[in-house]
Formats: sequence, C-alpha cells, structure tokens
Amino acid sequence: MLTIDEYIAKMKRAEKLDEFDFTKNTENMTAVVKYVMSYFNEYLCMETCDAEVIKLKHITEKLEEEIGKKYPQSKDFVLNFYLQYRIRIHKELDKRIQNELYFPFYYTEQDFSSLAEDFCNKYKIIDTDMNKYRKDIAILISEIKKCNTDVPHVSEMIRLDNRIVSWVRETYREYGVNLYAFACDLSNSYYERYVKYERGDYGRQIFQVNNYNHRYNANPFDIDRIYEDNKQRPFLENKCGELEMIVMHEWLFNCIYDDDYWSEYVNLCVSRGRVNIVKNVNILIPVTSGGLEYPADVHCPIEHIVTSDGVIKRSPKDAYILRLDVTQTHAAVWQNTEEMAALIEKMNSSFREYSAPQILEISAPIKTASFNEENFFSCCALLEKRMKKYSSMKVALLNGSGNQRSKPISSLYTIEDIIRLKAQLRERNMHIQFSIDFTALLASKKDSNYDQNGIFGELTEIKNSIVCLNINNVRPQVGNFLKVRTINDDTDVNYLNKYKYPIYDDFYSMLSSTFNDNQQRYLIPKNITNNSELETLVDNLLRSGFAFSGGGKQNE
Amino acid sequence: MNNSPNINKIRTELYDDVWSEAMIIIAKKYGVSDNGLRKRCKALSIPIPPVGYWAKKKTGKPVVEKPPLPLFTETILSNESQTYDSVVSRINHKKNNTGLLELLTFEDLSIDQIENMHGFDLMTSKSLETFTNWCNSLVIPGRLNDYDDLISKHKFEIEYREARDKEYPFRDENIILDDPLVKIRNRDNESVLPIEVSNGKRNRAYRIIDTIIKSLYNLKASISIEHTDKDNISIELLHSVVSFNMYEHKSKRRYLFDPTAVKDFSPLYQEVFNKIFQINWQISKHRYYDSLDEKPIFLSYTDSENNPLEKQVSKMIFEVYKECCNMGIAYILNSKRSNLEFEQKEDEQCAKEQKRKQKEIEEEKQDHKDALIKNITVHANDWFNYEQLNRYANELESYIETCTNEEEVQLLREYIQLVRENADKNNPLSKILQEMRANNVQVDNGY
Repeated sequence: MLTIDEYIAKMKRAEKLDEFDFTKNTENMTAVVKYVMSYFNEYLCMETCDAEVIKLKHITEKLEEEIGKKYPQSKDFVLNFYLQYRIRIHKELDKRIQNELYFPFYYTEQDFSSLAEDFCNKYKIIDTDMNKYRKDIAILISEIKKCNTDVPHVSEMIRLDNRIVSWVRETYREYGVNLYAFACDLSNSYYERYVKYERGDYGRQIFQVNNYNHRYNANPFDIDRIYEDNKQRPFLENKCGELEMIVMHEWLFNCIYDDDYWSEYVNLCVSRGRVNIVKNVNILIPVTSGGLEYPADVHCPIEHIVTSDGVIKRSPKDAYILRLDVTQTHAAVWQNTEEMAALIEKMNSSFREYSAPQILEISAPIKTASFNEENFFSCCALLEKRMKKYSSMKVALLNGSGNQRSKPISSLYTIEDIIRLKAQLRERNMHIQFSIDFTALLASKKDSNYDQNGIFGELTEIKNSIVCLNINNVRPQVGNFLKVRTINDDTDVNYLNKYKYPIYDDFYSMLSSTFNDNQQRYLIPKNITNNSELETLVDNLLRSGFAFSGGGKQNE
Repeated sequence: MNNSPNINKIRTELYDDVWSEAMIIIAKKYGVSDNGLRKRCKALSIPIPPVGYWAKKKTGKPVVEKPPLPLFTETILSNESQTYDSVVSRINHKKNNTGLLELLTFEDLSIDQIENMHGFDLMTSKSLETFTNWCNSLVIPGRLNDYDDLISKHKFEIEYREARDKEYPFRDENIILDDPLVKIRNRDNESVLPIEVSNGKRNRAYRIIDTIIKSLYNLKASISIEHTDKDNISIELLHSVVSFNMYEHKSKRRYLFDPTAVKDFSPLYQEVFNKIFQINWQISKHRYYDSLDEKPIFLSYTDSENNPLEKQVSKMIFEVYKECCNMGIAYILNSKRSNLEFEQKEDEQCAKEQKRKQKEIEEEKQDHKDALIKNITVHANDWFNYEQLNRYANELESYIETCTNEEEVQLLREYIQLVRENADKNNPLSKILQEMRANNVQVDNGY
C-alpha cells in the first residue's frame, strides 16, 4: 500500500510528467489533481484496504528502522510494546532518564535494573503491571545508555591535565561512562539556571550575566553532594576534586568564558589537596638573594649567587643558581676560547668545592664592533661540552639591556635577538637554555618591531627553552573593559559576572598565558628591596595563576 | 561664639541697643530677624526686655528695671541638645555652676604671655579638672537604642547602598540592565560618616562613634557632613576643623588562617577584615585663618588586644580637645598679632601723611618766598614812584601857599588830590604786607 506521495510519484513516473516544464503548467496541474482524486476514490477505498493497518504498518516500519541500529537487543521488545500499547517505550524511558542526574555514571546491571524497577513501579499510563517487562526495560535502558554515551574527545579537554584526560578516557573504555559528558550536562544545567541574557537600559547592548559565584567556591556545582552520592563507583573513588575540575573546565571555557581563573583554580586545587592526580601549572621555584624572605606559604630552597669571575666566594646554604656576569670585567670570554676555558676551570674548581648549581646563568655577550658570532658559538660549544658532566645543571644565557649610557648593549637585547639565537643554537644542536630578564626585554620594545603582546607571543614559541624568569614588581592593572563575544547572528554579547571578578590585562596575566604548562621554572626577583615588595610580587604571581613549588601540596 | 577681643564691645553695644528700642527695630538694623537677634543675645548672655516691655513703657505702666550686663563666660561642656529635658538639665548646671568649662579672657594678656601658653592653658585649672574627670567618665555603652542622627543616617545609607548594589550590580561599570521590576531607585551615594567596617562589626563601630559624637556635642562642637562623593565629617571645635575616619584593618588570609585547617578555597593573598579598628583624626586650623599653609595634625588610635578602642575614647577626646585648645591659643595669638600689626601700620601711615603735608607746606612757603623775591624790584619801583609823586604833591602844595589866585589854588588842589591818589595806587606796602601775612597764615595753618 502506497502513501499518497508514493502514489503520486508512481503515477508521475508512469506518465513521465515533468512538473518543471512550464509550457505544460496547466496540464500538469490537472494531472496531479487527477492522481489525488484517483488515489482517494479508487486506490484507497474501504473495500480494498484498511487505513489503520496501513498507518500502523508505516509506523512500525519507521520504528524498526529507527531502533534497529540503536537498540538491537531491545528491537523486538520495543516493537511488540508498541503494537500492544501504542506507546514508544524507549521515548518514555528517555524522558525518565533526563530526570536522572547520575544516569551518565550508570554502568552496572544493578544500576539499570534498579532504574527499570523504579520506572516500572511509577509508570501508570497503561493499565498493566509493568514489572513483567522489567528485564526488557533494564536491557533497553542499558542500550539507551550505551547509545547516548559518546566517546570523550581529547579536543574538548584541551586545558585539562593529561592525567585527568587519561582518567576520563580510561573510565569510558572500562565502564562506558563519559565523565566529560556528565560535566557538560551539569555545567549546562547551571548555565540554564544562573546565566541570563539581559539588555542594557537603552536596549542597545546585550549582556550575558552570570549569577553563579564559581570563583574560590569551596563547593562549586554542589560537587560534594554529587561525590557523596556516587563515591562507591570505582572510577570516582577519591576523585571528587578531579570531577569538579572537569565541570569547572566546561563551565569556564564553554559556558561563561572566565578562562582567566583557570590556572589559579588548578593551582589552588593542588595546593589545598582537592585533587590527587593533577599537577600544578605555571610552577615557579622561588630563588632568593640578599636575605630577602618569601611569605611563609612559599618555601624557598634556592639561593641566587652572582659572580663575575667564576669564583664562588662564600658557601651556598643549600641548592643555588649561579649567575656569571661577564659583561663588565670578563667580556672577552665570549670571543676567546682560551679565556672561556680559563673561566670554566675556575668554575669547575668552585663546583668541586660547593657542588654544581641548579642553573648556570651567564650574561650574554656585549655587542661590540669586533664581535664575531662564530667565536661566540665556539665558546658556547666549549662551555656546553665542559659542563656536560654536571648532568643536573642547566646552562642558560641571560638577556641584557641596551641603549643605556651606563651599560654596554647586549647582543641578546631584543626579542628578535633571542629568536635568532634560538634558531642558531637549534641549527648547531646546542642545548643552551635562556634566562629571561623581563625588565630588560620589555624595555627593548622601542628598538624592536614587537609590542608587548608580540614579545610574549614569541616567547610562547620558545617557552620550553626558558628556565629562569627575572621579574620585577610591576604594578598590576585591572582591565577597564568587558569580555565580548559574537554570537550566531553577528550580535556582540558582553559578559558580566554578578560577583565582579576583576579582569586583569597586565604583565602577569600575559606571563601566565605565555607559559601555561607544567614545567618548573626559577623565579629570580629583580630590583626587589624588601620582603613586603617580594610578597606583593608573590601575590601578583599567585593571582595570575602561578604556583610555587615549595608552597602547599604538590602532586608528582 | 568666638572669644574675640572685641566681644565685650559687641556685647555692650548690643545690650544698649536692645534696651533702647523694640527688638524688631534693632533686628532690622543688624539685618537679622528678631528671633535671630534674640538667639544671638542668648548666646552672648545679654539680658533682653521681657515680652510686652515696650508696650507697657509706651502707656506709662511700670516696667522691669534694666538688668546689669553680666560677665561673659563661654560655656563649653554643656548638654547641647534640643530636648526639653536636656535644656532644663543645662540650665540647672548653669545655676549650680558645676560641670562647665570656662575659657580664659585673653584681652588683658600680652602676646608674650599667650605665646607661652599651650593646650589646656586655654581653660581655667578648675575647668581642666572638670574636663579631665568628664573625659575619664566616658564609657562606651554595651547596647545602644538611641543612636545619634548621623549614625542612623549612616545605617540607613549603608543599607540602601547594599540593596541598590544588589539591584544594580553593574552600576560601577555604568551598566544598568533593563529591568521593569526594579524596586529600588538608583541614585548616587549620599555622604555619611566615614565608617568602613565589616557588616558584623558595624554595631561596635556605631557604639564607639556615637559616644564620640555625643561627647563632641557636649564640647559645643558643630558637626556637619559635606555633600561630596566621599563619606566625611567636619567638626568645628575651638577655631579648629576636626575630621576623623574609622576603618577596620584588613589582613591577607595567609596571616589569619591555616589553609590546611580550614575548608576554605579563598586565595592566601586575599585581604579580609581582621576585626582591628582604627580611628584617624585630622585637626587643622579653621579656614578663616590667614595662614593655611600649616600642616594639619594627625592622631591615630588602633585596637590592640589589651587596649581596645573602647578604652581609648577618653584619651582620644582628651588629646583631640587639647590639640584644638592649641589651635585656639594659636588663633588668639594670631588675632592679637594681627591687631597689633594693624595698629602699628595705622600709626606709620599717619606719621607718613603728616610728614607729607609738612613737606607740601614748606614747599608752598618757599614758592611764596620766591614769588616775593621775584617781585621786589617791582615793589621798589612802585615805592619810588609813590615817593616821587608824594614829593611832587608836597612841592605843589608849597607852591600853592605862594599862589594867590583863588581859582588856580582850587584847580591845583584838585590836581594835587589826583597826584596823591595816583601815588597811593603805586604804594606797594599794602600789597607786600598782604602777601607776607598770607604766607605767615599758611605757615601757621601748616603747624
């Protein structure tokens, strides 16, 4: 039995009707009306067919097609149930499952059968005992779960710690549970509840207002209750913080776009012991000099010693970083391998006495008329070769200042100098690292084609080679702007947070987003004269998402 | 009321005026209302005629006698309030002459004496004792029901600000969301007392500030809040402008909590209120001072474990008032110096003027002398002409005696008369004497 559209199509084919032939427009119209009349008067008459049966047949065919692939085990049950009660039971279960917050966590037969039992007991639409279908319903629920659960994609979890990504993937592989999907559902439910679109009083601007206080919240998304309700599930055991972190990731990056908070949040989670498998981001190892003391929560195990001739004059208390400042008195060491060898010998003697430093930080050569790059690289090669025996020590070149009357211009002055040198070292297969003096580097903007954003952008490219950060106390700047995004129809939406989180647009936020990895780097405070200034620097770095290796708990 | 040196003069004048004519007429003279004048008289302790005094006097009925003008002593420590009870209490205080502070009269003191005075030298020793006892008796109440109006306004304003900021959370960014259901009007902050403490500690702050304000009123201070964009207080006290602000200290979390012990996710650098209050006072000279370049005096009082701010209020009031007294002495000294300077300048000006006039007279005299000297030859010629004509007339008269013809004699006599008249015209003596006299008169007038 054909449907009307199938009948018309059949007749059209038989009579080779071309509805796009406008010269026969009237004839075509008449023909189609004739098909319709003949369908209802001749083809579809009560004597020849039962419309209900036909309709049912169509529906069951459609249903079979729909569920055949999705729920192969439950196909017959769904069809029979439909034929018997005219109810699509899988749709009813879908509705029920939507109210089940923890359904994404279900994976055992027990989970499905208890949900099936609950469904059967509460389902009162048909006048029959649903419990007789309980087993079939449990199987159907398990199939729905399987069908609804997508494979977690790594691309969705780009800012999450690798160990969390592995945990999510492993959970999916082992239990068929997509934790990230749960996080998405949960954050979406908070989005629907707390995020409102509003217009300004003149109606010109559209604002997305977040009314949920997620920052520094001890129990965001009521995660404690969720964990308490599900802690028996093996994949969630001792993973409350990790689950919260996934939800927070989705919330920050895909719901309310407060990505500035992410690094600080991760570090807070690690330092407060809320997570076990996550590592800090933007880790700094504090280095002190001149008797400066960090706040009590920042443990500083490293001392900064400066020498100009390679001789260490006093015994370091513990581990240390040695800065070799050759710009004033020993500038020739970068041009003469013999002088470099002599300097290395002095250092070796010091290292034999006091052990080798963590980092050997050497000031870059001075840019003079007689400066020869090949000589410089020969000296670099000699230095690298002779220092290879100190396996735990890294050698780093320190950029210098330029255009100052009192000091000579460094060959490593602008970001262009650094990029070029990095490329040359790579070509020569040398593994010399960089220690970046940000005061000098940012001061070189006037002699460079790069602005501040450009400099940080370039540093991102070579961040793996940067081992020390020389930072002075820069005043933080709160950005006087709103975050704006363009939504589907080219409308700009301004993002507002009811709880007024400051938006920083300053050196620290750029520094944080430049590195943004799990690598540990040394923090060498520059031009810091007292402990109070040092504390201010530490606080600015904490706020922008840095962590101190000695501060709080560390997950290794 | 200022304790200026002219206060007694003003009082006497006003006293005479109000007892000479009806109050309404005198008020017009001073450009104030009759009620305003009554208040000023009251403030200056000037007795005024009772109601109906002038009507009775007009009809010849007996009236009360004009009372003598009492001595003026400035009342400092008084229960300044508008309630009836407190007015009665104040009057009783006055009657008993206890509990009042008296400021010294400075009219008889020399500048040197005032220069050596400091702080509480402004008041009598008895008053100082009264003041010290009063300060020591100041206690912060444990519970307060009747806050001062300024405190109530602060409470109301802070409640409004909190509700408004909840209703318009983005008003700081100049963003007002379109919401037809808003219940609270959006307006700018109204200036109130500068109290910046955490919500939980506000009642404590109110109790302390209330005590301070009431104490200042007792010291006859005039308290006001200026309409600016910042909360403020301006207290006029003894020729000084005093202001204060109270705030609660903040500490970074790292110094307050152990992050491992407290289930708290806040960052360690976050600053939170730490229950430690501080009051900063600023005492500066009144703006009507000539020299505004002098730096204000700052006093600061902070909570400590053993010495909470409540216990420091007595000391605070004592020290602030002492500084105000210092300012008062400085004001009086300044006024005295200004007066002296003014008098000296006036004397100098007078002497200068006299000298100038003397010089002018001498110059004029010299001019006259010069003019006389210049005219001497003219006078001499006139004199010789006069002498010659007189001799001629005399000789003609001698001739007449010899003459016999009556007609000739008659004609000659007429001619001689003409000669003599002409001679008199040439006589310079009267002119010379006149000029000499005029010169002498000018000299006399000059002295």
